[in-house]
Amino acid sequence: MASKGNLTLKSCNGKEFIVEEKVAVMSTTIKNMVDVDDSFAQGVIPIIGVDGKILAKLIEYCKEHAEADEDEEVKSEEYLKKFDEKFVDELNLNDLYDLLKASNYLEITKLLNLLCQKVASMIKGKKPEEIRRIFNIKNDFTPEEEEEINRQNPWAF
Amino acid sequence: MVTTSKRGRKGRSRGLPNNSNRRVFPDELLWEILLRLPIKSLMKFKCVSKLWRSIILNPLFANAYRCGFRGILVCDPFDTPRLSPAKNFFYISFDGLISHHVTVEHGRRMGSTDVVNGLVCFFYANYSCLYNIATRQSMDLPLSVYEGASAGYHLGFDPVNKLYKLLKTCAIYDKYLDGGELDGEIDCVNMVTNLNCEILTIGVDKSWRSIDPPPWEIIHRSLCINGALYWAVSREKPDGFSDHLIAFHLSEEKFQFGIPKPDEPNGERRHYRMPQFAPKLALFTSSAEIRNGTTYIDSWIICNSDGDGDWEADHNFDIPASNYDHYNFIPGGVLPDGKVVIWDTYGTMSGMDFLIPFYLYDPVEKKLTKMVIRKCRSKSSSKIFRQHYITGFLSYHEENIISLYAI
Repeated sequence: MASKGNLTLKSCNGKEFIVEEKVAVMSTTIKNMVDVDDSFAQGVIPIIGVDGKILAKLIEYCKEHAEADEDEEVKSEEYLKKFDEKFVDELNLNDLYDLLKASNYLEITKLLNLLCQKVASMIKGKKPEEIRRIFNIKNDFTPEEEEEINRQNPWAF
Repeated sequence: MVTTSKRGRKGRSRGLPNNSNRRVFPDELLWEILLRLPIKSLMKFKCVSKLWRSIILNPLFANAYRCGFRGILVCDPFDTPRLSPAKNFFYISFDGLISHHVTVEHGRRMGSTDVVNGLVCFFYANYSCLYNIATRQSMDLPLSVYEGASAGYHLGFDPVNKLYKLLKTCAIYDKYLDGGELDGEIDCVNMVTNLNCEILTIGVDKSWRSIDPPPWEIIHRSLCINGALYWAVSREKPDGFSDHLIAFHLSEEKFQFGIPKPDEPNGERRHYRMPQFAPKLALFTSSAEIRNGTTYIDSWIICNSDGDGDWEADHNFDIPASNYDHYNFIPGGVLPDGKVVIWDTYGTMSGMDFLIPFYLYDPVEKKLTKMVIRKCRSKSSSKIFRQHYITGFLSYHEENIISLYAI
């Protein structure tokens, strides 16, 4: 069991992580659980649908940011920026997808912002047909409809 | 049915596999991700699928979309050669780059309104169209009733009812009634025999509605601030000039006259300009002048937001002038962050490029940052940026991706 001020998070594949409460409550979902029901703070909090690898990543991120919020001297804004950059750069696509899903479910707003920004910067220069191919999206426009849309915005292509 | 163009095959893939069917983000996050894309990408991605298009065109999405980017629309009020039916406008971002030219094709020289939430109207006589600068979408508006060529159009946004309205004032001149064409400088005021005033609520009205006109002609462009349009007007009276502000309240559709201008020291009549001073109404009284090596822009006078004539004290901006070899500064407006846009009316040639400097002045730090509008290469551009043509017809705005058909 976690000592006072610490929480135990359990991934869907059974891995347990003991983290400081300030780190765990970066997740609004966990914060709400702890606030509403004291027993969560004592026992183990199951993190549904998030495996150990992803949970470890989440905790790594939250730890840095929680510490930065507490002490700006040690972890400056610049340090955090570098950390964030490195954090998203090292992700492979599978991890990116899983982290997006997990940070959305756990409501870790800062991380969700960062990851969405990452996806946006990956796709912004792509052509529509590349987007469809990459994301396996079916083109449900008729050729006439598609031509009409393209005609409206020739400058964007 | 999937249609794929060949040019997309080269695959400038940075970190994205070309042949993967693996999803990169969960569907429920599509909205969040699209919010973070630049406008150009959004316009392009409208044709990815119906789902993508429906999000991009959703008015709620447009409201949530904030890119925070600001630029200036430079319009050319006088100078399109009569032979050319097109009118050029330039949209300039604050890094000084022309981001695009707006060319309005119409048989006549077009006027333009103030830019309101990234939208602007272009007009000639009874024709007008609404234009979104960011998405470059344009939409013809219904023809107004009165055809007079002397029409002035004024675009406004009523934040209470969330409605865009276009006000049109049209002076009916003696000469015009005789069938003659107006030409050159004439004393318009004394020739006006009647005023016609119409209004269109964009997206609601199918046709223009007549309303009570103001008591005298409005020839300047309006500024739209907090649900009202404002004009600074001067009228000659037997005992001198009378200077007032006129307001038009967009929700009540009523003119308000005679908002007094600030008291004038020494009884001296001052010439006012009305710059954009978002979100307040402001006047300033002179262009810059140099005293003891410092350039002063005098007397910004800020009115409280409801324009009842309750004026704050003068705001004087002093700018260190020693680094600049000429001083033809004209304040253009104040950005929401407090920085003052200052135009320098002298452009310089550099090879084939015509360079227009402008400045951002931080009144707190007293720091002046020079920006230059570059690459005005085409013939028509250098014409437009000639000297005084640049002043007075500028607007900055926040971009807005709202679809004109959703207004």
